[in-house]
Amino acid sequence: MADQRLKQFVIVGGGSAGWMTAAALSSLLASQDVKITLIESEAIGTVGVGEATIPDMLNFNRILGIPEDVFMRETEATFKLGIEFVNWGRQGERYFHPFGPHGSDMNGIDFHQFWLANRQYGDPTALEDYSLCASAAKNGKFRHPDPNPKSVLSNLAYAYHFDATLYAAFLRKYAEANGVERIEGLVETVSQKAATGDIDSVTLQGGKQIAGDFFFDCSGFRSLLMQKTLDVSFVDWSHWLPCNSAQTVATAHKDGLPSFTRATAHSAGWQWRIPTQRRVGNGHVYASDFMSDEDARKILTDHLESEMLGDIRTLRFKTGCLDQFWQNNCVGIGLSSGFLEPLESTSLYLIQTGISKFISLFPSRNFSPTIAAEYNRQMRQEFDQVRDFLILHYVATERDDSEFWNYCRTMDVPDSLQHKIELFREGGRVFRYDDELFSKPSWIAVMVGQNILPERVDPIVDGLNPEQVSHSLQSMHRAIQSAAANMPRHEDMLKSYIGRAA
Amino acid sequence: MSETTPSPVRTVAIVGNGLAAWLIAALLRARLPETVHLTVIGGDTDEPSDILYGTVLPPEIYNLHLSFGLDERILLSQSQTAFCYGMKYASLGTEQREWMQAFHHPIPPLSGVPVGLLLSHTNIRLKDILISAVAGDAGKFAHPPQDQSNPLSMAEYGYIIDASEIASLYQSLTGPIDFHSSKVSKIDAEEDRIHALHLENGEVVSPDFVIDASGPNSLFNLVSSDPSPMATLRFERQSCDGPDLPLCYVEGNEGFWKSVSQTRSVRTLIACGNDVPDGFFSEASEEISFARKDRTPWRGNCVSIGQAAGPMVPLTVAPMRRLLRDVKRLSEYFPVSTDMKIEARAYNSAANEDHRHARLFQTTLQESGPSFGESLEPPEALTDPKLTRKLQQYEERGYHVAYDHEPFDRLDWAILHDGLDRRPRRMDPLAASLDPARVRAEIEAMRQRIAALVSQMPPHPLYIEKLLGYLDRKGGGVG
Repeated sequence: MADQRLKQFVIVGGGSAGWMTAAALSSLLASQDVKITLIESEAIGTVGVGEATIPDMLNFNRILGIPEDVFMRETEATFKLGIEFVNWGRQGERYFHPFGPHGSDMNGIDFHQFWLANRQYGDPTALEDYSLCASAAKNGKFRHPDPNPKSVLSNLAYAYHFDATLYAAFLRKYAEANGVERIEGLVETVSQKAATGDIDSVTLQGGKQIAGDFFFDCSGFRSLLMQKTLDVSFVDWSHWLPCNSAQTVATAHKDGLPSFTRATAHSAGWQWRIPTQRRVGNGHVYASDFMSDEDARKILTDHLESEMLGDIRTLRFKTGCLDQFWQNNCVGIGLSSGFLEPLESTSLYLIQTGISKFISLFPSRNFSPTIAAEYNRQMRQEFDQVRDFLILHYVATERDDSEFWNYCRTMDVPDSLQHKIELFREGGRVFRYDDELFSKPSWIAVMVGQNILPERVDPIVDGLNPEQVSHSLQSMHRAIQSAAANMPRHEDMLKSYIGRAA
Repeated sequence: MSETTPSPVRTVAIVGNGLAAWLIAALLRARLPETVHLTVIGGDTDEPSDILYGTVLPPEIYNLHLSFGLDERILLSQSQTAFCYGMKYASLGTEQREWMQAFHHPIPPLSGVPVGLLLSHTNIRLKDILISAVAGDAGKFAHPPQDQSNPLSMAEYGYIIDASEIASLYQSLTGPIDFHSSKVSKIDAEEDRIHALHLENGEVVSPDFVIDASGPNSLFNLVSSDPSPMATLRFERQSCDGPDLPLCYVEGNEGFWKSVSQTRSVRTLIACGNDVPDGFFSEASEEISFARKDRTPWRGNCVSIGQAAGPMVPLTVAPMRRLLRDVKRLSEYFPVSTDMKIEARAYNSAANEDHRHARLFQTTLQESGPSFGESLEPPEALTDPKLTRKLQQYEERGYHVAYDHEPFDRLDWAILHDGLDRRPRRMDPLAASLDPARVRAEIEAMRQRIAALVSQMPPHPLYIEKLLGYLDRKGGGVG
């Protein structure tokens, strides 16, 4: 029987998507059995700026066997405990979406139900004050979680901020050490098999031809293989997420080293602040239908906290995803397969999940359509679920100070999201899909943070003794605040961890 | 009347007197404040229909029991319950298959590849490396230890029960409620909202919320519908002296299936199909007929749970699993107010998916060959695209497609496929890249370790005897 194993993988494009794909494949497949080639061009810049992530990133590093301190040193990384949202529900308001839970569930009842009941009894303590991550982040603190599940410190969860360009370079070293061949060049033409439409090879400027059994399109927004060659259509979600532009710039650090990302809503979009070790990444994401580039630029610079390091860059994008993520013998990873604004730091996660799903469905030479169909189903589900969570931030607002917010506040949203909002508004219940990325505490943090509050409390907490509930919550609150206060400062911890000043 | 301003739900009527009714009553009484008044109207239902839930409580019952104060010590001391490692299937048709659909924690992958995908490197079957399957088959039982390096810690277990006995136990553990032993004689309803239940004894109950646990021939099938095909199931309870194997044995013959399971005092025989041979049952056997029709579970202010939402036969643990999920879900989505449209929508969406997913599993077993009789599931279950996707992906290369909140997980499906001799056409590429000799050696070592451990485990009856003696000495009051 002919060997059905794939032998030659070609990754078109570097950047985070390309090098994450190369690193993961090379860690899994022995270099004597397969050849992995990555084509990238210095002439094409990467989109990456300061990159914020979610806790799943730890798994990716673990799978690759990358020590955390090495990774952090090489990528100028800092720790991240969540995201602070400013001016979203109403102007002047802020809330924190932490990693990790709020409080502790009691007797099988979700913590937030106790908090809702206590609030009804008149206690004004904010939900986020029961989150260890939020409390630590607000005080500029960080430490690693305690592995003992009985410790309050076991409730910590974290991710990273880092420099995406350095990250790609770091993974390049890793992948090349594992046998990945990097070829400098620009892809000029793509040749397909006449009978099947499968990609046969790519030809670079200058005529060098690179053949492969399987291709990864990591070419970014150009989507060179998936859209331009294989003609895969794009599902446009800009009616739900109308932001389509971003202006980015790095600034110097001001005071201290925050252990969180900040997302500040403006009149037609929002601005990120991502602290890496040596600088702060900033970007203003906006909807050009509602705001000019000049106004967007002014808002960005007006809200920078310190001097700019370098020039402002402008990016254009369209929110949505490919109709098929796997077509013929090609998978789109990263921006070539879809774009969702980085409001919840999901960009690298979507790359990571694209790779891990590919690995679990690893094909052989005959490219069964059933495997591709399953991959496409799963990836679409991922995109849909992240999309819904992002839309929640825009629709759950009372802002009426601009045309943009009037549009977002009143737009029709997907049924899947509408049902979630209604269910929470009715009695504080949260429906979550099995493998959904964002957990119950995430949905609750954003809904409560943006003033979606249940009209009535759940009957199961309705009859509880208010004093007992209040007493339990107060002791939980004390334990969390005290644990946060005793944690080291983020910059001190980082300095001792990576062995140099951040 | 029903269109007035929504107010909190203060009165709940549970209609039924069997397992489902008392399980939801015990759970809601434990969770809801006393300001919510619970009434059980138990004159209507025929407890015999509980046989449709089967005799096996799956492992997830453990936490549900604890939520209303029923721990294992009470369960064992106040009922004749025995332990159960799963369902054992034997098909006596042309296929001659035999396997143990065991309860078991997921097996960790070997070299990053799921173990199920590696079995094609060996002659070893999945059932040989699942300790609960091997022990169940050998009639052995012991509680799983905390020590995770011990293979027995991977075993999960449930219970073999007599449904009527367990329903009584749940009833005895239910806090303050009203109980009516009278039947419902008339229902006042308007546009799916029930205003009043008139009882035969002249009393009238006007609940805000009605929970229909009245079994497969639901009393609340308010909407007249097309005549549905009827199905029957015959069963018999025989007294016995002590427990037997820690499993429910299901035998498929051409045209029918039958099952046998045994608590410490009752042996239950069940048979379903057109060709049940004479002599399998004594004259003491009973028969239950039911309409094969599904209902929208939650309509207006009435929710049907378990068999009342759509009958299902206990060929697998699916009907019981569905009931447990209905009960848990209802406690999570208990209506916040008398306007319960949002809870109803959320509940129905999840309940319908559960029912659909449970069917996929049961249908796969039943349609695997002629042994397990004619499927009682609707024909559309066979062409469900979710099932097609599952089977295609598995047959292609052993990949398990999973859906949200499925009642049967990847391992359950892997065991089923293995039991049915369904083999992937091609070896998984990652599995193929591993050294076959090393894989064979590791899996063989796993098999031997399990076989050696099981040989040292006590027989199920002896284990129960010693455990009850121990509990008795500790003051557990074993009756």
